[in-house]
Amino acid sequence: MTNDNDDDRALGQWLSSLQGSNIELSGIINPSRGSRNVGALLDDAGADLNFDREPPEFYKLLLDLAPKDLTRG
Amino acid sequence: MAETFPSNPADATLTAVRDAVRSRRVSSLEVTEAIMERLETRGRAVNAIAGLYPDAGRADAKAADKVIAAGKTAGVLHGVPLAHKDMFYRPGRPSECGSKLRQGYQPKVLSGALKRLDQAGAIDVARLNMNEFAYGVTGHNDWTGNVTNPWNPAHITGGSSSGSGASVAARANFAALGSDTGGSIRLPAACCGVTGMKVTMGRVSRFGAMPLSHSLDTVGPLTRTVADNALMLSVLAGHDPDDASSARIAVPDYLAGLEMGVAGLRVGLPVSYFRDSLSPEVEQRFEDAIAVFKAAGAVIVDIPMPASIRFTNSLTSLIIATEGAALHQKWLQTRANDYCRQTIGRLAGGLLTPATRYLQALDLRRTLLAEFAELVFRRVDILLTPMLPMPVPTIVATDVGARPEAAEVLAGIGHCSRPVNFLGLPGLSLPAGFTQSGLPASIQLVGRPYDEALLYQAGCAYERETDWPSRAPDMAWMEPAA
Repeated sequence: MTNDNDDDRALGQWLSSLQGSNIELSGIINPSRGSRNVGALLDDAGADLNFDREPPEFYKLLLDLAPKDLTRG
Repeated sequence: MAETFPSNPADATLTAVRDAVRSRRVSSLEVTEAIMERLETRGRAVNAIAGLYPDAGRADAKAADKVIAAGKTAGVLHGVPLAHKDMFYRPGRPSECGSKLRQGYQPKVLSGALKRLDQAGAIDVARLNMNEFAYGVTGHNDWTGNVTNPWNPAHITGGSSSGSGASVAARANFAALGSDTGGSIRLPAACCGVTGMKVTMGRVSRFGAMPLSHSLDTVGPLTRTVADNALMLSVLAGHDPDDASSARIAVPDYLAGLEMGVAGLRVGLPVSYFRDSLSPEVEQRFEDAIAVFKAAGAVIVDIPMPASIRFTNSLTSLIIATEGAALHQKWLQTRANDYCRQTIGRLAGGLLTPATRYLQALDLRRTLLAEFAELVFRRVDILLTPMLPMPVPTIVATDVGARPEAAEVLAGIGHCSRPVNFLGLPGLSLPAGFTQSGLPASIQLVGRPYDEALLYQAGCAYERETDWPSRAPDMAWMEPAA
């Protein structure tokens, strides 16, 4: 079990030893917003095991959905 | 309906002034002088100006007039003065990106977007203020000072293309380049009452544009009218060999469909998410807009949103913060105190993201886009949403540094913009009347990938019925000139 102090220490260590930065934790804005942590956000959003997809598939889907008269053969 | 050309050329639309210069009704020099005067007065009054180039502007305008006088073929924006967000690189001029860290920075390359505007004959007369490193939705900037809203200087312009939105609204600029990573074109357009296009990922070159988030950054125009916006994108769109991420896909004629109307067009109304937490005033303006589309013959269809849409605001923030932190890591280590308060807080947050979770967030884009397309674009041609879900807030109410509770307001500002960035889709922000405070209300049209042309067609039909772009701020709050 952790408490806020443990979390702060862990974050401080992450920033200093892994990221090489020495920034006040109090000024940092959580990019996943609100009280939800990044892991919970991704799990809830459906991040899953994807062994059968190529990394650029998002861009391929954009082209697949484009008006057909714009896409080249 | 033929447009009457105004006595002050700065009051004309981009399309009208382009035609007037081309037909020699007015000279490029006259137009440039008029815009320079407006930038000096109104542009400075709203703190939109990062750099002004009157001598170069006049020289370019005289050269443009000579070309026309000689009867030579001219580009589609020949002799038209424009000013752009201070993040598009041009050798010989600084590009300071709204930051102390970029003070005096001299770029070595010409941005792909400016190159196309140059080739079209446009004249680049000024650099415009912005959120520091294009990171912020309000327009706050402790370093350059805040850009203020021409309709009421106590209110935000929206960000990050704050100077772009304010200068176009103030009739000090015909059109401006902006960038949109989480709403940075559409939100200033919404707050300032102008038209802003966030293009499909890859539609416009990002070469030589300051990066914030490589996965989400887009470049696009802010203008007074839909036709002006379509004209700008006609120049900007297309593959750029210098930008490997720009799409190799044909560019349609964005002007061709502007008069086609919306009769029979299937317009989707989201029954959830985009209409959550709307203020009553904004809800009413949105209902008014629906009525306009319905009266113009559009087929209105209620569309359920995928449950996953509620994650996209946070996922967009996560990707921006993480990619931004990677870009800024060295300065975060060595010059953290030179950042503005809001910028350092957001960028440093990105240092906390585990790489595995960041990659999962990127991977979700494909899944969520497929879900969205299945639910929305199988049934309708475009989606109509509110843009800013609240009346344009004040600068004080959105100052996170001074008021921690303002963070909730900021999250709400991007509620309708960020899903469009996450999904990589085009989104057009349009003025939609006014709220009781006298500031603009706004709507957004969202389309299929690379179907910006249909958004312009629908936007033009809406604009024709409402004529909101003819309203301009009187700026009576400006102090009289000495």
